[in-house]
Amino acid sequence: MSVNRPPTATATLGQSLFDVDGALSETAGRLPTRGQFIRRGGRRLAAGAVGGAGLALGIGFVPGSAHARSEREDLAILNFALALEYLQASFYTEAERVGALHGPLAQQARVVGSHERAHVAALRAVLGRQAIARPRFDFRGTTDDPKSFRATAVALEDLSVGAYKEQLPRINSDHYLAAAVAIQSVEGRHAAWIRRLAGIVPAVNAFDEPVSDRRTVQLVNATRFVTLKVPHTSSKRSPSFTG
Amino acid sequence: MDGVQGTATQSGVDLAGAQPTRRDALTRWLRPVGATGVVFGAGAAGATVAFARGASGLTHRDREVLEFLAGLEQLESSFYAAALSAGKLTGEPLQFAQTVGREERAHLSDLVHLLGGHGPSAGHHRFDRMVKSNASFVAAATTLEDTVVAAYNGQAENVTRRTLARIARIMSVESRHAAWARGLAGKLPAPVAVDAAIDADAAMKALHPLLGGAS
Repeated sequence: MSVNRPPTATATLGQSLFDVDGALSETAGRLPTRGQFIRRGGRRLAAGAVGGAGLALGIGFVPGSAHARSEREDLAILNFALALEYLQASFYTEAERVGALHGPLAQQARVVGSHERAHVAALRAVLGRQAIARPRFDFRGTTDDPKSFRATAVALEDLSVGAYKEQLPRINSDHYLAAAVAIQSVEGRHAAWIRRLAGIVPAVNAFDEPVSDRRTVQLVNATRFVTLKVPHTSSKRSPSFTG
Repeated sequence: MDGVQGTATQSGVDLAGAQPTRRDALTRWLRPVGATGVVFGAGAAGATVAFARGASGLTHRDREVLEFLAGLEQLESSFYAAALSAGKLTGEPLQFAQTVGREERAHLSDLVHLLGGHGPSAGHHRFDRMVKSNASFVAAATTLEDTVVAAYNGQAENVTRRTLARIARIMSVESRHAAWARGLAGKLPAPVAVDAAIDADAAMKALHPLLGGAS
């Protein structure tokens, strides 16, 4: 296998332009700002070792306390991650359902799809009622043939790697950090896997650089894959498309 | 290296199951420097003092972790250098060794730079057995890369978030290397939904076969 072809930039996501105020921009709007991020060091000291308790369920909010704020910031990050995982999970699930893939590519879609769905389930479990609902997706034919699928999967996975990287150091809780680290690591594997199947160098640079929230939202919106504005709170209604 | 992988199944991820890595395991491993084969540069202890108030703003623990990670990068760099100089690799495994070897060197120099210029000295490893064919090379690279991924993951909580931002740029590249190596070995590049995190002791245990006579 030749892996000499130039890398596909995440810009592949920008084939089509059509601004949709979808799940991602909404979750991004709730993320801590950079200023908050920089100031957090002092707050963390002030908050002391409170972080250990009540993390798993996001319960035990004390409104206004440093702990409540840091928990709120973390949940915003986890929801942002959830939006990205919804996107990926739904993409692979649809690719599997359409059935246009064969051989190693079909295996990649099946295995990676199961991972992304597991990430969705894990994030939803942590976020509980605060989890954003799954938006509706329209993958606009990119799951219909191996070539479009491959190009889109490369772009989605590379973007996911960069987006997680931006968020990791912003996570307050060590518990959530450990989980996000374990997931981003797998996203790196996914990116390399699909790149190799696409015939491009799996690890083209020595460093994966972070992708800002704004840029992530821009890239995802440019795909027009997200077709329905997502409500602030999850509803009991089952989504029209379950990925 | 499936042993390093599986704390999660593909169908179920337990975020609560992500194990925090204990610091004591790291320091315990770092103390007997040299005994394990990843030899840190002369004055690893002295450097801590000398650079305590360096411009880097690293905490003592940051330094310990970065020294450990630099040791892993040193090991990886030596491994790929040995594989290339043995001259037995062909095709994609050769391309893998060239690309990944270059990236590990870049990681090492980034970490050494962070540490204020004090890095690990080259270890004396005998990789002969592992670099004599594409197959043996790919098998060893898979073990090495999977272990390094888990070792980085295990240190994320042990450093300040500021240092994490720096090493996070390396972490996913190690994941890419691991996936590439596994693909070359005919294994699933991403076998589980959530990668394992291991402490320094576990990393050294997993690397034991590669370190061969050095330990």
